[in-house]
Amino acid sequence: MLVLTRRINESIVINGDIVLTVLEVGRNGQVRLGIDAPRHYQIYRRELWLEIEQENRTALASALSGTDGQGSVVAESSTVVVATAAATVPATKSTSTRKNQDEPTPVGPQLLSP
Amino acid sequence: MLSTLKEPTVATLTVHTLLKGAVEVTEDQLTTFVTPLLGFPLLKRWLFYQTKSGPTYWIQSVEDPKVGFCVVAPFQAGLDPEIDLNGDDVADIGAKNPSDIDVYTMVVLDKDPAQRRTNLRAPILVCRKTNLAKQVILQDTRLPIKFYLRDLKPHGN
Repeated sequence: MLVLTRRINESIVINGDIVLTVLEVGRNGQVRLGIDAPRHYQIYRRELWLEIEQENRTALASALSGTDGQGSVVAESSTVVVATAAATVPATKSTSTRKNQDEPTPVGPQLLSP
Repeated sequence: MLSTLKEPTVATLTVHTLLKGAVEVTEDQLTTFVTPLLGFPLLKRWLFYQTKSGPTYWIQSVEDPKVGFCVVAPFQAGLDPEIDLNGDDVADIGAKNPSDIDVYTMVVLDKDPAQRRTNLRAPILVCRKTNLAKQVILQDTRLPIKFYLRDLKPHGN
């Protein structure tokens, strides 16, 4: 791992088009970073990445244990749950988490240039 | 020419699936992930198949017979997540417009029905025209990684 020491308002440049700036260093160990990067770089907190990776692995394990290698009743009956739910629920109105999509979605302490 | 040559020989390959055993498919039935599914960096080619009609599908790794997932097409299933597609993701899978794209989400088939869930935050986008796919992480934090299917309440009358 490359280790660089930077102070507040100092930056590093990655690959010529990503600029990572230290904005704030809190006493509690929290560091705020600003990231200037072209839009096509997708930037996430690593925990999110790891959580989705873990959920994928869990999905695999569940599929394998449900199918017992060559497919069986367990997985088939599980899929029915999904299918049944689909049959009974019309489109829209399901995720309680949805609100107005027009609201900007904060990504936390990342500052992405347009 | 000889009539036997008129029959084009389409190259098939055998894919070993979790649910249907060995199936013969042609290349154009396979889907290639332009970036791998998170956690499975070596697996590029997949077969989407169904065991019955409905919103539930299975995806099978061509390269690894032990890797197969249950996925659901959330719009067919009435989950209707509000997915804001990133133009770069759309371009990555060769889609000219969003209507070329099918959306699937990974399902965890927990033995406990209350734990069965799907990941609405990281859907798989598939371009029907190019057979290219990608699992994306959406920026919308309101989309749950664990959307429990038990929360999908039937509409009562």
